[in-house]
Amino acid sequence: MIKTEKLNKVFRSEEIETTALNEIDLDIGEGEFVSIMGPSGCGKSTLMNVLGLLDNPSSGKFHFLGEEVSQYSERQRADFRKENIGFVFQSFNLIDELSVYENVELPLLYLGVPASERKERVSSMLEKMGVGHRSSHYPQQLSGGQQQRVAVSRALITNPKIVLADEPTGNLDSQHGDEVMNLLKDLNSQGTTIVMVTHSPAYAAYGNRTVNLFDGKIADETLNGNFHV
Amino acid sequence: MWLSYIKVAFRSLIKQRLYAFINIVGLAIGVTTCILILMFVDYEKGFDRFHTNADNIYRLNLEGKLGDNEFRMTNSAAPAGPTMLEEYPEVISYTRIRSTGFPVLRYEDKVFSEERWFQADSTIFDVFTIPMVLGDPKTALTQPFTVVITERMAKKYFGDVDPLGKVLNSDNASDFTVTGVVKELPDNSHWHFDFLGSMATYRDERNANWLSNNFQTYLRLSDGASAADFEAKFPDLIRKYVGPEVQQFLGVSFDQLEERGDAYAYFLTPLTDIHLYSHLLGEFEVNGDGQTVTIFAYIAIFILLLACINYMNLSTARSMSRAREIGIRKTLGGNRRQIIVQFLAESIFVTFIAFSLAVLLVQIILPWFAQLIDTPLRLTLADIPFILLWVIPVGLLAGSYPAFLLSSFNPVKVLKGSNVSGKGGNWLRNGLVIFQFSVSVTLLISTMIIRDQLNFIQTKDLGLNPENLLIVKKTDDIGRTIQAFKSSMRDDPGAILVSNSTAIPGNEDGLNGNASTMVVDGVEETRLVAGFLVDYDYAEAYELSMADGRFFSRERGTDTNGVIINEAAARAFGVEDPVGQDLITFFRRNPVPIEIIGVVKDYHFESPQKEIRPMAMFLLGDGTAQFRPNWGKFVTVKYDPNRLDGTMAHLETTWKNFAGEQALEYIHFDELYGELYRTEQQSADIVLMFAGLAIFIASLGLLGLASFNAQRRTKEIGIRKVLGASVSGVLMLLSKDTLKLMLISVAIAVPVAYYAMSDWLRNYAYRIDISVMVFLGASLIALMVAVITVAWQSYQAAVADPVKSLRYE
Repeated sequence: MIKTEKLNKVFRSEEIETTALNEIDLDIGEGEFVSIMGPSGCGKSTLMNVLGLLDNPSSGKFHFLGEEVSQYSERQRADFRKENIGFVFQSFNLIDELSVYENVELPLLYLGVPASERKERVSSMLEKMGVGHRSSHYPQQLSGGQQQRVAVSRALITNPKIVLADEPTGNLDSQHGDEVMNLLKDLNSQGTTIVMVTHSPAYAAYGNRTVNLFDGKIADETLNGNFHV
Repeated sequence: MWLSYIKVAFRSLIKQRLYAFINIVGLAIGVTTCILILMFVDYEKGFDRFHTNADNIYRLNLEGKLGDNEFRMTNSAAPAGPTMLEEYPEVISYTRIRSTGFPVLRYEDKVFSEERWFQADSTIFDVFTIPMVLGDPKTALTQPFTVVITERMAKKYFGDVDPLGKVLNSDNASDFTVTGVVKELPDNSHWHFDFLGSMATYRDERNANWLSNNFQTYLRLSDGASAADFEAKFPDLIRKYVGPEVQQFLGVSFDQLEERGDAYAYFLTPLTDIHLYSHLLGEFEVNGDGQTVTIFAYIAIFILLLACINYMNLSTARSMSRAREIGIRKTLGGNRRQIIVQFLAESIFVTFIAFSLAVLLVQIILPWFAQLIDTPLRLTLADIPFILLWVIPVGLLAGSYPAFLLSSFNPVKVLKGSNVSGKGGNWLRNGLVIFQFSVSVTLLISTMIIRDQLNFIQTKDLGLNPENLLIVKKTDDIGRTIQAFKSSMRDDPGAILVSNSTAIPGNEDGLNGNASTMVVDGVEETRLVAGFLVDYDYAEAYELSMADGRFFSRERGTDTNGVIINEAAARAFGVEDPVGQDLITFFRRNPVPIEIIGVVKDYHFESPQKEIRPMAMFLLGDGTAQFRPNWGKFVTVKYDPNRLDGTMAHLETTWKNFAGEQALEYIHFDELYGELYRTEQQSADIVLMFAGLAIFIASLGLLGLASFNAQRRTKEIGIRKVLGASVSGVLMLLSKDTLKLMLISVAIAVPVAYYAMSDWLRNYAYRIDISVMVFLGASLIALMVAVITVAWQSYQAAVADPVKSLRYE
């Protein structure tokens, strides 16, 4: 599904050049659940941004669903994102001015899905995620765990090929964190490809495979047995 | 999708109420001002357009030069219209209008003195569009002693009775039969009448003299006829008809007249240009000022721009709080175009609210504003959709910059919380603030200069004493009994002096202009001299000073054959010692020599804004003198201020005794002078109001910028404070930016205002020198307003706990 070859990302300021990603070769197959770990500043978030087509790599090849996407324009990237990728963030990134329902509906609006279908899909998604009773509430009125479930609902509403989760449990206590992880695991078992950045080895172990980044490079990869903590 | 945009827009407005309030109110005030001004501009520009043939109607005017005197006037000769109709195919029709004084009209027991009586050719209905309610426009004014009246007059004299065929008596002398009732001319007409007496009644219409110019002639040209081509034919016409009369009366051929640099020519003014652009001698009413209207139109556009800029500044200032939302939308697949559309939609939404509020405000303010500018403006329901049509362009203008700025945010960066709005847009934001304050300071300086100039002309030495003078108007209505009226008034101990005259200072009414001749060094010199009639007490009542000779005196019976000229006249003729010499003037039917018995020191016998021109005063007849009976329409009473109440009471009874039912009309002389400056005073008030609004709006914008800067520099301020910066140090740091912007604004505004106001001052014959203090004062005010505006924001930022601002890093 995703294949990168010698992927580089270099940030240039006036005087300094920082290599955030250094020759990354990564292969992610359909249905995989890949965890990405590493210390602060090792390039995890940069990698996620590139994989999520939020940012272009400086050089290297990036195949996504068989397409070379590394040189896409902003417009092409936006179109590609909305059709193929769901995002889950550490800070949930829900729009405060929109209700739970409207937040989840938003990607469908950008996809141009007709109103009746939107209503059906959003309602059933919120039910499935256990926040159906909260649909008319605003994000600020929900607990962290509920907000993240809304965020996950929003990521999944378009049936993306892949969900990119950047420290989805980072702002949650352990109970809510576990809830979200189980949710992701369930999704994965239903066939959704997941790439997740985490600091927690325990949560990393929910994936089939853990990629360890260090200093912009892949330090090592380990396969996880399908065990749970 | 649109619903989602509006929802977010609405909720983010609710969430940030203060910003929303400032934003909407600022925009609404700007729009309100703009609508009000544009309504005024539209009204002024729409004068006389209601005539079906408005575009083909022209007024024939006269301009010329005799010696040092140049004249440009609305009048033309009686034969001009008929001759042009006969000789030029492009003239379809003409009508002549003439004001014949203020008759006292009587119908049964109803007696009124009327001011809007004119005589007009029966063809007036071919030229102008004046809907006739009763009667036949084709025949209404064809017979002598017929009159067409307005609906209001029909009601006033005849109530509900059919007025056709009724007879109105004029001045106890002539009877006019009502042959038509017409609708009144609308407010935006350059002249208004209540009565149109048929031209056929008057002998003067058949006056074949081309040098006697007593008529306003309006010509209707055929469709497609070129006014310029038509005007090109005038010189031949003048030569053919005026030439022989010049020879006869001035003793020179027309060629000789031209050779010595004199001129005599007709020209046309398009009907629709009269109100704004024609300021000739003899206009029917006080016309508007095209320059003022243009200036106002510009001000309207500027105020709207200021309000839009405000929106831009405030919206970008709020961008921090919207950045995350934009990041999320982009991450979820919203492309830049969609984000731009979203913010434009939002700004159109806000603009719509502001416009709705503005329409309400206009409704509330309009009566007051209409009164202030003395213009009957009305907002009709039909205007509202037209106004709302402007929501979209204004919304797009105001929303453009925020939309493009906000949509450019990099989602990765904003979601990471980094500072998204770096220095890039700074120059633009600062530029906008500079623009706003330049406009504000320019307006402020202009207001101050206008005020100074008004003050200057109002307090200037007029050459007369304007104190304690009461002017009784329309005294010509009491006719021959005026001498008795005067002596009856003198019985009051508070009436120090009572004088009657055909004209009073500060008023053009009653002045005649005549080519007059003096023999200087054996050569006849002809100049245009203004003339009017006074009695013996006139000079004393107004405290005029004599430069030479003496004023009219009761003791000398010969003064009826004498004339007083002013210094300007002596200068114009180039005579050192005019007393004792003769002035040959057309003032009477035939030019006769009259002895100059005195030279009065120059005083402002017309508006103090006008340069003092040559003038001659003649003695009013008392019935025995050789002048035609002319009793003067003004009686001036010099009163003792301590006994004014008694004098007023005495005046009321005396007037009743002499004038019967006719209403007493009087005005204090200083009020009359106030009237003269009313237009200027109004313009000054309006510009002051605009300047205030502009500064207010600009300050709102500055508030936005200050809060934006404080937000942007929160971290910097935190670090500075941790490192030991004091509150005052931080305050200085933040205020310095604003001060810089203000200084640049002032530097732009000063030359602009100087240039514009120097130009404006050129309209005045007597004007101030622009003082440096005005620039200093205006700059200081702007500076203070700006500093006070940003002080609170800066203070908040300066005293904020640095730990809080740094914690998020």
